Amino acid sequence: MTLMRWTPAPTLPSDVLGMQREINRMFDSFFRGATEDEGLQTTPWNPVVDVAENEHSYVLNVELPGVSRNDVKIVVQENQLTIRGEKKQEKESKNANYHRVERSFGSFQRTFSLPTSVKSDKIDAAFTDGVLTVTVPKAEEARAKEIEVKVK
Amino acid sequence: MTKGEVTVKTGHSAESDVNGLCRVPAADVYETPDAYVLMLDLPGVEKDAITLMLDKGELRVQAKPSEQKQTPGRLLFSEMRPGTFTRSFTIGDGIDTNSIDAHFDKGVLTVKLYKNAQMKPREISIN
Repeated sequence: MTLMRWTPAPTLPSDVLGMQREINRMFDSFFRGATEDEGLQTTPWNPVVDVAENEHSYVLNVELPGVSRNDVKIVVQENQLTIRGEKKQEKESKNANYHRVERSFGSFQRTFSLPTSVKSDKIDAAFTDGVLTVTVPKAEEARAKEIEVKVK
Repeated sequence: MTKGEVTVKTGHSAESDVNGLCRVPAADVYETPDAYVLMLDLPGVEKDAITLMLDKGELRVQAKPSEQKQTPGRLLFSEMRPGTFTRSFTIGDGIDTNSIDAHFDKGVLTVKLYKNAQMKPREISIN
């Protein structure tokens, strides 16, 4: 490793702009609750997801406030589960003058790899209060079995 | 900023729930000729768990996500932030505080704050 020259302050205006953009992005992601990999996302909006496992199934909860049931598609192909859809901006009138826009709009897509031991034909989904819940039941062999061990 | 406007207070709020966790919901604010409209994303909240409080020119929204909506079982990964949604807005004098409409649908709270007569645009005819 060599010693690098340290430049105390950015000298080019573009650096300043870049820094400003980065700071704006940090503030935005902080207040919107965006995920850390935001810089890598290809779609403008990446909904937030929780994934849990219980005895019988895997449960995915996706925050989709303001999205209509008909605008969401859940597709299972091989071992990939994809949730995609679109949120349209609800514009009340043409006279609306926006002072602040923090909520996300547009299309979104998230894909998950499913374990092989699931019943992919028995996937169930429910949509309440802006949260989509997808339940993926486990196949019999994946369920933890209790084996009684006799102590002699 | 003019006196009559509705503005968002700073993102942070002193309020917090028992666990000390609060989450700032994303908000849109727009203005129409007769009203200011606030829209807040409150996913996973039931209508009855939302409190809207107007106090001394400050409108405070608090909403606790329902326990049942929380993902059951052992979390494999979690991106959702825990805590009670909390956000405050400053309501100017130009708002008729007696006629505030609130509506909750698909996890989105819409609050309509009507302007009082002085704030509405008025066309003056030329004689």
